[in-house]
Amino acid sequence: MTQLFKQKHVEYVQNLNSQISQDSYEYWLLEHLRLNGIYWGVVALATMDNLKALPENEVFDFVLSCWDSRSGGFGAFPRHDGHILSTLSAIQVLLIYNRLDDPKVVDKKPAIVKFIKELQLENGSFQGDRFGEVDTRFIYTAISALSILGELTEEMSRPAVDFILLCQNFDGGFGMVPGAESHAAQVFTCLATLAITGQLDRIKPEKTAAWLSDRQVEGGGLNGRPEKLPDLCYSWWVMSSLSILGKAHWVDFTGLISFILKCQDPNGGISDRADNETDVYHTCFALAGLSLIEMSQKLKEFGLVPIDPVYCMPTSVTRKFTNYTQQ
Amino acid sequence: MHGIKRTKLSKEDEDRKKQEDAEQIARYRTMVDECLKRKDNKDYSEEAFALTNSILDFNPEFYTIWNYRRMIMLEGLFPNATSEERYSRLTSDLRLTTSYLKIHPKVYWIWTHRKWCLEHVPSGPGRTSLPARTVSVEDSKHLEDITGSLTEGKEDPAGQNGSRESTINAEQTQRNGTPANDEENDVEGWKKEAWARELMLVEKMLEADSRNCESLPWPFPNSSYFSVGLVHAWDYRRYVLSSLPKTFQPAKTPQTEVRYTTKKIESNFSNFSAWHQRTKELSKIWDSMRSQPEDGPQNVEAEIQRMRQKEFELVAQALWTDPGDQSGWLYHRWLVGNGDDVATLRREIAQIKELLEAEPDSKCKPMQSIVRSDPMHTLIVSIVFVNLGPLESLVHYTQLSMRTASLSDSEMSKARQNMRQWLKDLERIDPFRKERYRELGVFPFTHDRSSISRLSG
Ligand SMILES: [Zn+2]
Repeated sequence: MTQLFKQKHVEYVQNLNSQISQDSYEYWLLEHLRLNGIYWGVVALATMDNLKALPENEVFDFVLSCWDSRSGGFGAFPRHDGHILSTLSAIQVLLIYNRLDDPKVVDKKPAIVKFIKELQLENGSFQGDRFGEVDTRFIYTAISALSILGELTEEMSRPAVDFILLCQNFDGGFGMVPGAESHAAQVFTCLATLAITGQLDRIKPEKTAAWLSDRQVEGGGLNGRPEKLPDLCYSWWVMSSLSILGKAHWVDFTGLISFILKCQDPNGGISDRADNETDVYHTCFALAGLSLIEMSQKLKEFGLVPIDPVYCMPTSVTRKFTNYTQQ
Repeated sequence: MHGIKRTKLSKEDEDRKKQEDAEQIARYRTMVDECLKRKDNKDYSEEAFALTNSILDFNPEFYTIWNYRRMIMLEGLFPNATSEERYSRLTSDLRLTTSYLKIHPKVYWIWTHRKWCLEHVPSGPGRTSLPARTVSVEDSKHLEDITGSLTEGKEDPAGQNGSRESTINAEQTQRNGTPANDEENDVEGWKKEAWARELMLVEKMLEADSRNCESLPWPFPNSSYFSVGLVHAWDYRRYVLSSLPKTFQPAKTPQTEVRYTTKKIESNFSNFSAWHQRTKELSKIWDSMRSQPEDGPQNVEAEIQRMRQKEFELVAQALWTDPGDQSGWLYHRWLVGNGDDVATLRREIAQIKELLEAEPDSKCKPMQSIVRSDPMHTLIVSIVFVNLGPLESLVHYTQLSMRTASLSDSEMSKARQNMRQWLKDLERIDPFRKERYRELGVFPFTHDRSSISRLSG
């Protein structure tokens, strides 16, 4: 495969919420991921410059229906408990559709901000919800959400960054808590947090970038840790991290592009590895990853929209609020 | 979906599935609706508790239902319960998570609940009222189940299974064999018992790990990274160790942990997780030696240096056994550090050169393939050139030495010449990263501006 089946992927995302999908039991078993799924779908479409493929007002109404008035955050589905992950998804979708200023959202903003702020712990980290655990990805999620809302303060970001730095390992990577092994997705959450808060100069970029470029393995795909199988979603986690460090070219693009294209289902959708079941998560990160490659190569082979490696949204969208120091 | 093969249903199968799904959906949605209604009404009853069970049976990833279950315990079932009843309820919830993990070992929310249960075990006199021996035999069975499902589809000769069981029983007997009067009024009795079981579980996970000759991606996200998180056996072990009650026996210290990693490393040199853990534990030991120098700071530094040299001996074994293995090189990089110990740096550079010269012909040949398989695929992860690790390390250490070792003019010129050659070799044997090697020739890792001009001169 040397071609990106854009139109098929647009249809794939459109069909995710269709009646046909809703008739399947699996659709309902994945309720707890619905809002995250909408975000992945919306970013996939935005990357292909086809946002209008989903009915904007329906998406807007659905997102608002996921708001959990008890916690102040968004749940993944109407009546589910608020969680930091679905809260970020909601904010991102609203931002992409330029609806953050809608009175119905403005109403809720103080409660949303309060929900996020109260998840921060004494050591600077964030938990996912009141029962949640600590994990560097929740720090990223919280910091990213607050910065989009224009509510990030020095007081919150300083201890969060200190905690992030404790999670760095001797190999240049970052783990999920202090002491944990380096993992590419965790590297993304930590670097992106440092980028948002303007603190990237507190690490040695070459060491981290070398570890990230070592993730490319036979066949061109990227893995998450040494000696693991490649998986398409690392095309996002590794490429976004390298892009933040300005070292995207430290991997081989030809090999990586070929790996990504092989994961496509010609009928639409993209999977973790060739011939596996497709899902919207891998579809989103494949397209976003390809966009980063295009940006780095300054080519327009696939005609994708430029994606911001820090926020995983189109740069045209993140420009609206970006206040961190760009590389 | 991670690791699930793409399939296409026939028309008939599709129709049949649709029919079955319609019934399932109706049943499931009615149940969810009732449960969420009860939740909205703050119903913290025994019936509501049972209902959460039925839903989780269908969907153990439903985090809102797990939250509700914990609220029912905290608000409804626990306030009027004795600590015995609370402990017994938590123990049975631990069993519940065990049975779910057997089928869904990678689901983050199940692990979250498991941790919550462990963290809520009440203070209490453990063994006097609930004999550990009975619990442990039953739990051994559950542990077998979990680790069994982990290694599913992989070779697991019956003999090995048997011997594993007997090790566990022996350990258990030993643990139960501590003097009885210590236990009678031990307020941490139940906690110790619960965490001891957990430690056993995680050690079995790691055993399964080494038997399969790879560190298991376990329990790794199955539907998406951002929804299910990331835990694996070593992470879970670190969590368990950091949670052990203060009076837990046998005590776990950085020293015992270093010994544990030695055992793991000696059975498999390319166990990166074990090397990683070793860096953490040794750092702890050295930091604490430095903060309380018993016989003067100089003696402490000498002792640390002695220990560090021992580590070089250990890692040299790994590197000479298999120079193509990344894990050992990463550890070696950590040991060398910033290269301020010039004598050691020079010695190590010399040894790596020796290692390269031992097999000059292998310079550009793929020497080792690392093959990994999952249930669906057998994939070659990488074809490692045996000299990749040594060459890359040589480049890095030579750069360090240019900064720290005050090289003579002739040494400097020789180093420059070598660097150019090694980087060229690296570009050839590892073309994926050729841009990185090209930049290395221009912008050395060390950020040392003076060495840039020296290298390109
Ligand atoms: Zn993936």
